[in-house]
Amino acid sequence: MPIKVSPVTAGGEIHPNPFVGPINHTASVRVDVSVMTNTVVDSRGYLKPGTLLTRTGTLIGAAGLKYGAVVEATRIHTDNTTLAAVTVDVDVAVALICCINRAILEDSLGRVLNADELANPAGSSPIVLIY
Amino acid sequence: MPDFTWMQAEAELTTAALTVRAQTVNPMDLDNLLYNQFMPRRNVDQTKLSSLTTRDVRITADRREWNARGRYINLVTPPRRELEWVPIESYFKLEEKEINDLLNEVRGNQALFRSIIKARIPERTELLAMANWRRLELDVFEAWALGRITAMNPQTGVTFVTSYNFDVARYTTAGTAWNNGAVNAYNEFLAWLQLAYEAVGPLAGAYMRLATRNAIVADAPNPMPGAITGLVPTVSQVEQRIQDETGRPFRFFVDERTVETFTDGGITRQTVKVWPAQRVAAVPAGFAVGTTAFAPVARAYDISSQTPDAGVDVRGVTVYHEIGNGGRELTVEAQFNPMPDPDEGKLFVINAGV
Repeated sequence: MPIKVSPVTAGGEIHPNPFVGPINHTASVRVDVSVMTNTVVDSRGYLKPGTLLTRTGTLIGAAGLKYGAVVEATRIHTDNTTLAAVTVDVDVAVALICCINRAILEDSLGRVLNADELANPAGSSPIVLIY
Repeated sequence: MPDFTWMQAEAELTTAALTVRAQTVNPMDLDNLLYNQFMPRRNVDQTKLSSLTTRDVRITADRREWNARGRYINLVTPPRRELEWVPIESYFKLEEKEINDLLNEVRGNQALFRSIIKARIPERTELLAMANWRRLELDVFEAWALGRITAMNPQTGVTFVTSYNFDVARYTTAGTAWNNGAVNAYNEFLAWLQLAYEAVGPLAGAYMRLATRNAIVADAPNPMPGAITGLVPTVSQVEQRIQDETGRPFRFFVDERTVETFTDGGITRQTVKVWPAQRVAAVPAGFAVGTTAFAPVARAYDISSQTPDAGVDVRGVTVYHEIGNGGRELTVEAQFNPMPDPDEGKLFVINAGV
């Protein structure tokens, strides 16, 4: 008998906005989807706001300078389990000059920022982490 | 041989007329039906809808330093579920012999025959409407007390239980039955009531069966301990004491109402209580623990368009004729499409064991 109760969404909190203050200086970065991880991309394929990226659209590593922080959750794929196989890159808007609440960003990513993300070597954009 | 086509010529026996009459039946059944008090009607457009649960989110902001930004408040979304349901319907039939017997009673007087039929069919239609409302009543209180709906296939008698998948923390079971001598039912009830305030918010009282209330009252403290030993307080004294101890309004809602349900696909019936035994539910202030979604009946749109002045409620009980067996049989059906939609944030029920 088709009486049905289907749980559709569990409920929870949307991706928080980690920016403190206005964002006035934005640019477009072509994101290399294949190197994104499931901490910065949610289960529905959205790149989380505040994710720190290099100018070439990769995550911050030892050699990567911070170029910008993703402004708003942007869909770059259909999920976060098949990112490595994606060959098509996606343009995403990033903020070049901004303040980010580190605690909000870490809550959103579900991990602490690594040393490379916290460092500010010469040439990095002035993205200030507040903590 | 009777031919039921004349029914459409009788103003009181058309589907529109019977529908209007069915819809004038008081759905409260002389205050025996209370669904509208606790899950008031809400009109919806289809028998499938998304249901949101209210969440009592009490986020607080913080003070900030001069020239600095304040606290970011993130959006919290409630759980969402999809409900899909089937109609409630009942019917009766008139067969050839019944009509012939009636014709024999009136000695073939067609006018008299029709005047009698005009009284009987609407009366029987009202019985269908009330049967439908009682099914809704059972469904509403089962959804509240047990967090589920039990539907029985009216032809096969097979039952289907559908759960609303509410949070298990809102439907608990007492570790020890409240009427066990090792515990004090009154104290157990007060402890549960305090949890109910936290889970639901302001309350009007608690809903339960008589046996449960009696167990609580029996264990309530002696109102005159120094003067009379073993004095059992009255119900109103216990209600007052609970109000005094909690500092909030409170009353017992006791429900011993019964309806008759079918035990299988046949006609055997049993008397059942509307409120399940042993369940105690928090009644929120304002009484509503959800809503009852009323979807339109597709056939009602035809009736409404044919007789727009009749004011037919397309979401109310709708009556439909069906003539069969070469005109020898008349089936009269009454249908509507409601579904209880409890608000999880207003639910808090315990199985007290008594």
